[in-house]
Amino acid sequence: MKETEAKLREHAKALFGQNKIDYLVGFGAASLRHTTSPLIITAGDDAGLLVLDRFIVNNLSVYLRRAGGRAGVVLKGCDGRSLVSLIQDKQVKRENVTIIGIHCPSLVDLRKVERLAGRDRDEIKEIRVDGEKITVSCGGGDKIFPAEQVLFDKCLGCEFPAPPEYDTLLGGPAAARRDKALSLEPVNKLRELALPERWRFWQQEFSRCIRCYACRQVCPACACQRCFVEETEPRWVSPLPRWEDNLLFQVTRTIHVAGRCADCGECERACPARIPLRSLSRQMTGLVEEMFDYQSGASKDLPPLMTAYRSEEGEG
Amino acid sequence: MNLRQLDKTDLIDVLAGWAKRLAVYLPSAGGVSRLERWDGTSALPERYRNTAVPLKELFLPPAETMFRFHKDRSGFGLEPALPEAKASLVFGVRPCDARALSLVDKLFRDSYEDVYYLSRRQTTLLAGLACDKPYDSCFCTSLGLEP
Repeated sequence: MKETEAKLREHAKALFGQNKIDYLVGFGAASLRHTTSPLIITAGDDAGLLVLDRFIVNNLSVYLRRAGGRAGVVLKGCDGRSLVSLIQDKQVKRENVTIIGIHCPSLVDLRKVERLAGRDRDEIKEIRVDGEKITVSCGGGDKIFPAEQVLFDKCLGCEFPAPPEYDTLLGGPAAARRDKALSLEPVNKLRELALPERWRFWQQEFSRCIRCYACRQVCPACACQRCFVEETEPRWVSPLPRWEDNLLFQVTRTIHVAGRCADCGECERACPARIPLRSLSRQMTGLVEEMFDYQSGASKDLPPLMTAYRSEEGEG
Repeated sequence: MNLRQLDKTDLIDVLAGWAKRLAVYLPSAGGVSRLERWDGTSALPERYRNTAVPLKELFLPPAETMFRFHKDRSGFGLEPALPEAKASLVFGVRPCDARALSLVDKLFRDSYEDVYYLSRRQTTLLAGLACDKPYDSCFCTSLGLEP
């Protein structure tokens, strides 16, 4: 990825040099280990701050909503789909964005690494990716894990490693991961449960929800100027962090982003209470695919799913 | 001041002794780390650093009954409903969280004394535990505290 990183820095500098963009949203080094941070640069001289590695988890399209000026943005596949959804929704104008697409090599899920290594992330010295092997170095020595145990669930079944819409595409095509079954394991495990058990599972999970709305804030599809959860006349859902209301909030939010959710999984990663939110959103995108034969963010020229009616969509 | 020293292995017995008279809370073992009512048997989680859900959760319930009222032919009646604050002990409190809670205490004493918060707070003993492995994101020392 170092090569692609160098190309990105070169290209970013060139874009500023040619006065094509006013600012660029990308990834930069974070102050903590094994993470990157969203970074906005406004000059070609800062292109050297841009970073590409296996921890570029943020969906940067979220920063382009209601942003002015001429933006440059670094997007992986799932992020790119989110941006296309925003273009379909007319939240972002295609002509105002210069998209630097990254052919995503799939990303490391820090929580999985912590669980497997039995260590917290700040106790881990280094996480090295070497083809299909991930080496985790801690105080006690090195542990090696196969890639599929350590990558994000979403990455395991990725169908869009490169964004569907871009001005430039960097990074060589990586070996495609199409283990849909593995990617859907948490979702399928839940589907195997009987409904009362499933209900109890979500009751337990949502008892921890503190209604911080990190899930909403990090989601590019959650672009409403006034979120339903803040409406008091009428009050659709109680702001109290009781499990019933928490569940209602999340299920409603999931339905609201139907047709626009690109399964980037940021909601789950951002949740401080570690609620498996992707299990809900992935179930929803699966239903959308099934019912409407539609994958969000695949093409910017399609109308938004929920605003268009096709006569083939009969009842049942 | 009375200072006692005990072996780590005796901690469970000490907690059990306290549990006879107090509701004892400990960092939880599985799932998302928080302070939970001790079940009487589980030890401190092996690599305990700090809980994910902070200490103040025990003192700031999202909803509580503040009063009850009734209406009948003779008029209205209002009875305050204080929390049934059971004498409690929280073990494993980190210095940062303890300090943070003391700031929250100030808020509930400002202007008037909030009986709902204070009845819980005043019936709870906080047993602190110094940190031997602060997170790399910790910053207690930047605020004049120590681990």
